[in-house]
Amino acid sequence: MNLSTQLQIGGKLLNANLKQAWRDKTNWITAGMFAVTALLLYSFAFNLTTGLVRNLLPGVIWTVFLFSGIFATGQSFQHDRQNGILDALKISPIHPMTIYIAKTLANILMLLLIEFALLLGATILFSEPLFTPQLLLIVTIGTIGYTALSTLLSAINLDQNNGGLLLPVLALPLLVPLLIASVEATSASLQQEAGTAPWILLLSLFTIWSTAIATLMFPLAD
Amino acid sequence: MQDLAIETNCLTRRYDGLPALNKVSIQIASGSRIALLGNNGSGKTTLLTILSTLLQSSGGSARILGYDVAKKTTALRNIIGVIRHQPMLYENFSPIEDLELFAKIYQVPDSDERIKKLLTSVEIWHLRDEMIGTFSRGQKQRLMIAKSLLHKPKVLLLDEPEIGLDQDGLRVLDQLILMNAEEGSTPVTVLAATHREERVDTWATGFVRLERGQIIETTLSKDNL
Repeated sequence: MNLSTQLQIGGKLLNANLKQAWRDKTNWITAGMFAVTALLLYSFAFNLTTGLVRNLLPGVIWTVFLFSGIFATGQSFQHDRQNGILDALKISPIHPMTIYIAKTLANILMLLLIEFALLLGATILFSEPLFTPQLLLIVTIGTIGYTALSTLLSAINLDQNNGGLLLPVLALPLLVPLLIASVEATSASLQQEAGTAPWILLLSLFTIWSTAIATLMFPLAD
Repeated sequence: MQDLAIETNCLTRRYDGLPALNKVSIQIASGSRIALLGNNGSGKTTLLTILSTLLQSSGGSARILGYDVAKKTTALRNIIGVIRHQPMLYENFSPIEDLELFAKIYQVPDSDERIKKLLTSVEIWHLRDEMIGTFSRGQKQRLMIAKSLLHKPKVLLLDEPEIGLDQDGLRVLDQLILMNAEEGSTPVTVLAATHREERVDTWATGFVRLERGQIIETTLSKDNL
């Protein structure tokens, strides 16, 4: 099967994953509700008049994004395994990397939808300009990086009875460098510092590394 | 000597050191329909799972129409059709959506016609737009029969295909798969695990009986070598 055919099939599979996620909203509604609740609580907890909120926002944003992502993607392969779909795909002529990329892309698109909505909400709640092109770029790059890893991990620990518990434990140490870069890039962007570019570059490198490693590792994940 | 469709040589699979399949060697000729018999835990599912490329063996080798199962090649996967214990279906898709996706994956020509023909043959064409999650076990199994035949496989690996089927469903199964009677089809090789031993005589050309991962009885030596 040539690359062009794999891409066409990958497109169909991506579409199927998005359709599946849209119809079975459980994980995404849980993730969305967690994110909205967390953001609301933070907005009430911080004293918005002191001006210090800008220093805290990068940590707040990425904590909310990270745990929403884990809620949303942590079991992304679990439903496919339970329904036997993962087996059906594995015995088909489709390349395992295509299966992984289609699932990861679907997760990224759904997460970005939630995150961009949250940034809009946070802009209003915290009275800070969070919906800027630079911040959207940082969020997109960071989301690609951590979704690539968390989607891989959701495939690896499926067979464990306590897989849901294992995911955050396994994922967090791997995600730390990426999250540090995301928080620093976000912080630099919010402070309108000149040094944003190196953090975005570092974040991009971590994202490329994690995406490449996860894509190559997926065929060995079972 | 006829062409061999399935050939295993000392095929072994261990779980935590214990053999689920112990040096199983079988040779099945093309076009044969072989029943895989045995009690629970005898190794039937393990054998079929290895042949389906979903499980790595711990030792020995297996070939399907000359393709090494361990290499999991695209060519091999294009020629096998599989039914497992568990239906392999998108629960929140309709049969049409599920089959269209897999028709694309297997690059089935004239897929719309093929899907319509198969869903009509398994008598669930009227359910084509319903969500699979609302189906009974028997309806899902009928859909799995259609799905396993979608790409016109040359070898069918079936793990208890009778599960959930009523008398009409069993007739459909016999017509389409076990008797190789799909209209215009060339005979396929069937290896099917079953507990319905009373039905074996109606469709099988031979059998292999496993116990604790080993062959204890078989008819393969004469007709299928």
